[in-house]
Amino acid sequence: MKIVKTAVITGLGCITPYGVGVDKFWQGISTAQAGIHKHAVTGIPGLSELPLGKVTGYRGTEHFNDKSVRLLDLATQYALVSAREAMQDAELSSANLDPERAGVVLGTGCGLRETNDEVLENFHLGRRTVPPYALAKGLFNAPCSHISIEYGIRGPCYMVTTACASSNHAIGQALQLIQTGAADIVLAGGTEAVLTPPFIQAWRSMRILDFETCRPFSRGRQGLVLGEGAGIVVVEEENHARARGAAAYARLSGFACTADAQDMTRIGTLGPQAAIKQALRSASLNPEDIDYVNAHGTGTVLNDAAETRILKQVFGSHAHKLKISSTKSMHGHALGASAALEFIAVVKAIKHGIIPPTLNYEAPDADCDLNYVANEARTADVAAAISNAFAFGGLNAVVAVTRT
Amino acid sequence: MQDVVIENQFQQEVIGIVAKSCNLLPENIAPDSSFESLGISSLDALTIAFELEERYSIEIPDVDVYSISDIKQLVEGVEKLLCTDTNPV
Repeated sequence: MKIVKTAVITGLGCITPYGVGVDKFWQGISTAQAGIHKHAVTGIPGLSELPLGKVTGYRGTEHFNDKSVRLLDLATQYALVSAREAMQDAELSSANLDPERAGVVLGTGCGLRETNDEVLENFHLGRRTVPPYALAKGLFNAPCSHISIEYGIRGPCYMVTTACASSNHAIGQALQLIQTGAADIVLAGGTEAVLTPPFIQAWRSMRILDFETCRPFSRGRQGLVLGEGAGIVVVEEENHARARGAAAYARLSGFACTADAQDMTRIGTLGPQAAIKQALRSASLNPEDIDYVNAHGTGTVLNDAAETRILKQVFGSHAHKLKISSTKSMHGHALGASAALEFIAVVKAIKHGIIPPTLNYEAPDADCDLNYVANEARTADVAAAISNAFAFGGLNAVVAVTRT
Repeated sequence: MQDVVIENQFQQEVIGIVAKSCNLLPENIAPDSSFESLGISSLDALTIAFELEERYSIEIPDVDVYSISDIKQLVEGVEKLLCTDTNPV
C-alpha cells in the first residue's frame, strides 16, 4: 500500500495593513477592525483619495541595512520579513534545516511593480541609464530567491503567477511537494506591493473599484478595494514536524486548481465548481464536513453573486449551513498575496474557534442569500474549512484545511 | 420618419464604434446581435465603453458596463445617457 505523506502548518508570518506580524493581523480581523482606510493618491487625474488596504507603519530600515534595503523591492522586503516570522514561529533556522529537503514556493500576481515602474519612468523621462541592480531587483522571482539565499534553502524554489489566486496555487504546490516526498519543509505564500499610480489607474479603468469601501455579498457593493502585503506559512511533512516536536496549527489537507477557459475577467461557473469539488476530494472530505468558507468575495457585483451560486451548486442544502466570510472586506484585495492572508485567517479560525467576519455588510442582496458572518466575528467550532481564490484569466485554486 | 432615420444613423454609429473596438465588420453586426454571438469578451466590452465615453462625452456606470449583453441594450443605454447628460457634446 502506498503511503501518502501529509502536511501540517507549523509557522505563520505576514505583513498586512494592520502592521508587521500575525498577531496584529489576527487581532485586527478577529475583532472586526477595518484595515482599509482612505489614502491620498497623487498623479491620477480626477482622483485625490482612494480606500486602500495599504501597509502602514512599515519601515524597511527596521528590517534591513541601508545597502540591502536599496537592493530589495518592497514586495521582496515584505516576503523576507514574513518568512523570518514564519521560520521563527516554526522554530526553524538555517541551523536546524536540511537545505536540500526545504523549498520556497511563492506567488505574486503583478510582479515587482515599484522597481519596474521606477525604471520605466526614469527611462522615459529622459534619464536613459538604468542602475545595474535594477534587473535583479525587479525579477519576479526575487522574493523567492532572497529567502532561499537567506536560509541556504537549496530544494525546490520557484514563484507562481496566477493573478489573484497566486498564493493559493503556491500553497497547493507546497502540499504536492510534501505529498510526493520532494521536500520536508516548504515556505509557501505570496507577496504583493503594487499600489503605484499607474497600477491603480489600470484597475480604475477596469471599472471594478469601490471608491467608498469593500462590502462583499452586501446590497450596495460596488467593487473591490486594492491592498498589499505578504503572507508566508511553513508547510511541513507531518512526521517530520512530529519528530522535531513542532506544534502544528492545522493540517493542509487538500488542494485543487482548474481553469475556466472562457473569459479574462468574468468569473466562470464550471471551473470554480470543479476546483472546490476536487479540493474536497483530495482532502477526503464531504461537502457537509465543511464548517467555514473563506470566500474569494471581492465585493464586485458579479463575483459575489456568482460565488454564491457556485457554493450552492457544490454544497446543495449544506450551503445554507456554511459560515462564509470575505476577509478582503477588512484587509483589502492584496492580489497575489491575498489568498495567503486568507489562508492564515483560516488556520487561525481553526486554531482559535473564531470566524473573522465580512465587514461593511449593510443589507441582504437578492443574489447573495447565504450566511456571510456579517460585521462581527463569530465563535464557532471549525474542524474543516476551504479557502477560495478565483483569479482574472479564469484560473481557480482552492485549498482545504482541517484541524489536526 | 425623420426620427427613424436619425435613430438608425445613431444605431449605425454605435455599431461602427463596436466594430472598430472589437475588430469586427459593421455589416456583420445586427441591431439585435448579442455580445456572445459576436464573440465580444468582458475586456472588449470595457473597450467599447471607453470608446463610447470618449466619443459622446458621457460616463457609463460601471455596473452597466458588465451587465449590457447586446447591441440593442447598448444603443438604448447610450441614448438614455445622452438625453440625461446635462452637457452633451
